[in-house]
Amino acid sequence: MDFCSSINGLPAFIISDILSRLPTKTVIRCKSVCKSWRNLLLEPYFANLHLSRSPASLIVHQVGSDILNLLEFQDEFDGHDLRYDPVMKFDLRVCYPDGQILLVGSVNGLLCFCDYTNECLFICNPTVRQYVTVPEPKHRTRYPSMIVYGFGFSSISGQYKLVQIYQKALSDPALGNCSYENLGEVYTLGTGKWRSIGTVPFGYDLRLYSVTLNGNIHWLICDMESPYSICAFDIENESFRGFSSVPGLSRGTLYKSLGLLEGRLCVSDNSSNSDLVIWVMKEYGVSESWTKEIVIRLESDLTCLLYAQVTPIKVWRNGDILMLWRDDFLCSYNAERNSLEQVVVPRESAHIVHRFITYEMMLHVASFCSLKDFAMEKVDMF
Amino acid sequence: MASSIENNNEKLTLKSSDGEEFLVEKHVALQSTLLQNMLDSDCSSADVIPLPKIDARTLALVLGYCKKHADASSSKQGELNSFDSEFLKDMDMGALFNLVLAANFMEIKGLLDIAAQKIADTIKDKPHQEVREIFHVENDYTPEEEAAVREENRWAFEGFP
Repeated sequence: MDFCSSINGLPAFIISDILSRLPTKTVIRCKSVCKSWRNLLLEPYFANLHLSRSPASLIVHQVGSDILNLLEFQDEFDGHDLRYDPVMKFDLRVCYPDGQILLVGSVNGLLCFCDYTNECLFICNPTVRQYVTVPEPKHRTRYPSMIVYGFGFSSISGQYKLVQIYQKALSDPALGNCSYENLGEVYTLGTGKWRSIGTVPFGYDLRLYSVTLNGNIHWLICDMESPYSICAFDIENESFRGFSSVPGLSRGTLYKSLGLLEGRLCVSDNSSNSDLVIWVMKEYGVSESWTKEIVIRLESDLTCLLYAQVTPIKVWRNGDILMLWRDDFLCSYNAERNSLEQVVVPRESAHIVHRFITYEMMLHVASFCSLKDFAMEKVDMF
Repeated sequence: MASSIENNNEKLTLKSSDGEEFLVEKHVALQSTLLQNMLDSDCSSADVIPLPKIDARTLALVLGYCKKHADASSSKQGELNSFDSEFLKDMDMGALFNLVLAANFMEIKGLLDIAAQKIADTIKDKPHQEVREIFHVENDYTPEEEAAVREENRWAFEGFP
């Protein structure tokens, strides 16, 4: 064999393999190296390879600013932090004229967000600066009706689906006591239209965050009578099922939140006046496997955590837990010292519209998945 | 060469593209899925196995890697990790390219992984002009085309030439 001196003497799939190991920004700049690289980096083969190696980062959305910051985790055994790169900042205001956005979900680098004021939904990939405006659902729910969204991916069909659950009054609410039914609609990315999926057998709170795992989208349910505490929506089959309640968990969703802890579903319960308890479902879908994984005694300095929703985000390598208290205080909890350390996130001072700064945070994996690969979508750049 | 060694059936001979022969213990050769499949089928270990795509210098490196990994017990992962990084430390880019090609041809996943990672690490956070130099890539863009591609992704160039 000839001695190989240029990287372009290597087969294309090896070049893809090498480039897929680079940080997002280096990959993007590599498009400028030569034409064949640019073509290589636009292929779905590269996008999938890169995605399989891409580390999770943290999306921080300061509510009202409509600016997303992507923060990298710096996670070593001897310490941890969030790394802020001002370039990894995405201004979503270009996607829509006015209103206020809230995040719906993030899957494989695709981020779904909602403009509640104008009842518009968007799916964007901040890494490739593309977005699509999702067509209007069949049912448009006027604020303040209950509406819940979820966004997920089926690895069976390779489809991305957006689900909307809304309430429909069974009689005229003005006439007094009224019952409601919950109905669902699904939008498959690339199809251009919503489909009804009929009745949804659970009740939810307004503006509830979902958690996607194992091809299912999960929400906490709020029915006080239900034997279930979590609802799972199978993204492939579009069917709903309930997971039996966490043992001893009180009814209702107050001071509770659903999250992911090391790839497992967890429920954080802060409704007692003494402990914050994080339950983990050790074996997916098996209600008997709920385990009291973390108990934080809320005494002395930690009483500040009482009576608020706490959402676990990540377990650091050294065992500390990164969690969001309420929606404004990000902190790391150290079990040995039973102590909290605040984790500072960037503030967008130029766009503050709220008196109190609140955040939405979720995990996000940067990907080069192009929205142009979805047939019926009109893709805009930002 | 092979005949002078005892336990001949536990060894096999590999021949590089430039004609050099390497006598390899069977358990070392098994690090390569390609060789494993050849041995599993009908290939007699007495035969000389030609590797026409791999030169002697590269093959020697590959076999050094295989020997270390075949001999180390699985409990010594830390030791292997430091061997791996030392192994690639001062290797020039041409040698790395040939190593990654050989690892791909011989199907040695671990070696392919560390060599590809090492190559990637050398251009991490580097400007694209420097990437061309490091990898000997010819710029086939016209200045206008290059400016257009850059403009598409302007944000990723902030702070870069």
